[in-house]
Amino acid sequence: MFVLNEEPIPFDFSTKLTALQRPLYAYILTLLPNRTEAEDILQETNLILCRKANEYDPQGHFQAWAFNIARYQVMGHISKFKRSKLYFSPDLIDNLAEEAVDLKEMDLSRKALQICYELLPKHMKAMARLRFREDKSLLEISKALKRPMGSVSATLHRIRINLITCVKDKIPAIEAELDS
Amino acid sequence: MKTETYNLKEVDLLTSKVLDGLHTEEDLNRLSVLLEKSKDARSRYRELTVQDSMLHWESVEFVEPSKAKMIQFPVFDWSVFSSIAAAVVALFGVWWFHSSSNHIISPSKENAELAKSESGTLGVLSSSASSEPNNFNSVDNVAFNPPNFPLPSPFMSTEQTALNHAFYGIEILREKRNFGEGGAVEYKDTFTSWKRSEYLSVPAENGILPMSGDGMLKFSPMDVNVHAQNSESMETLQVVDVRNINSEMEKGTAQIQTSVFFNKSMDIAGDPTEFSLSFHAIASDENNENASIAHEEFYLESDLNPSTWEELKQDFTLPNGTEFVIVSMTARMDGSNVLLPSEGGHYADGLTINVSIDGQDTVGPL
Repeated sequence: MFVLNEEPIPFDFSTKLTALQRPLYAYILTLLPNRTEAEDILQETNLILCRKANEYDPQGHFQAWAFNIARYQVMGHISKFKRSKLYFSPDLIDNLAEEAVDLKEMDLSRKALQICYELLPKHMKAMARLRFREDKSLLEISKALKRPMGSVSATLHRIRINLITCVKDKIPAIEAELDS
Repeated sequence: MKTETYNLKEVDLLTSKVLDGLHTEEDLNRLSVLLEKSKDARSRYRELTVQDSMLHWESVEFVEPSKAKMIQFPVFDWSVFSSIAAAVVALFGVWWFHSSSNHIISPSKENAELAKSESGTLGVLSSSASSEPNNFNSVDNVAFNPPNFPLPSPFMSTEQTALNHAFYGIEILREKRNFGEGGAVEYKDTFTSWKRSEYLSVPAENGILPMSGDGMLKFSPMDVNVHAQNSESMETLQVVDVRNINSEMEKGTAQIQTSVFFNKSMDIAGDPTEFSLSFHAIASDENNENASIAHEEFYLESDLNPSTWEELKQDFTLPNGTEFVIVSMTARMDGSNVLLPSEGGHYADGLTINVSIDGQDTVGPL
């Protein structure tokens, strides 16, 4: 059970924490690629960060500190559930954790992703909406769209690859536009 | 380098499986090995997981696809087309088309605004294949004012061409004509249909034999979207006049029952094709213009064996007020391989369309 400090959280801290939510979630999902579990760990991490808000040194590197706490939460979660679920090994998690999320690159990718999402064909957008926005399982999507699971899985894979290829293609132009 | 490229494809596939929760212990172990061995693999894996996180996080900011929009279809005067066509042919290609009517489709066509655009045709929209015929959303009319009657263009997409054929068929049936171009009027019991199967028919080719008889239906060459890296071909198969079964539709007991088989020839890339069968229920609105009141689409992914035909069998319940039903088929491919030259083709055969009334009386094949 987590107990928050009774002292108010500094405004500067809460601003930094809010700005870091997307990269923090991306980082956790990379270490533990299960959306539901990653969301749980994000919540736990936020609670711990808030509890430790007054211990944080404003001169320090907020992202590194927050990511470190997230990594410990991931490791703790895996230790607890490793008998019943499949996870990466702790060594691999450490390896993945070493290579930090580049916030600037993530921001460029986010802008490109919004463009690329619009370029998806309508049937792919329909599926992407069900999967990513409405958080439907593949079985639910299969029933909703009356398509076999294998087809849904294959299409989701194609959506991911199409988007990632498009994003890489768009980033130089977006970067140039921001620089100009 | 080739091994690295191959492994990255494997990283892609395994990461997708893991993100969708479809992985086995072997898959996870294999992904772990790839990630431990290669920095490029870890980088790729990270790109995919970060992208997934952004898709979950950002999805409220993305434009939501429109839901079952109702589109006005203006009534075309095809007699103008007939008289102009001869003059156009004589002038050798005085084609009149809007700038974005091109076989290489610009990204702007991939959204609902296509419905308002060039060539006098309208895209018919649906957010998903599960729209229920009896769940009508409010009318969202798209105003359409063609400046002059559009001539068929070699740069028109197959979707626009298919819609043109469908609208033309509706007008043939409304005006109770016995013939028209690009199709045939046929009668079965009290039902009249505009059928295009004869005009799509080809004999055996590209290593594909008809499933039965001498002929099979062939899709037009695919329209390639370079930016989105996908390709698509759409054909109108049949328009059925169902105005005579209004009472059955009111009770919700009238259905179009369809069965069709799909196949594709071998191609360089060996990628599968997604086929779909689509139904649009058309009715006149208060302005006496055609409007789509319901749409359903059903999908099937082909195998890569040109000697086998895959069946897609679906029923479509006619909503109250339906006057015409458009039955069409689409072939779609995705991925960078769509940019490769394609010598093969996509085919359909064994098309049967019946009308079922009260679950007992079946009329067909139409």
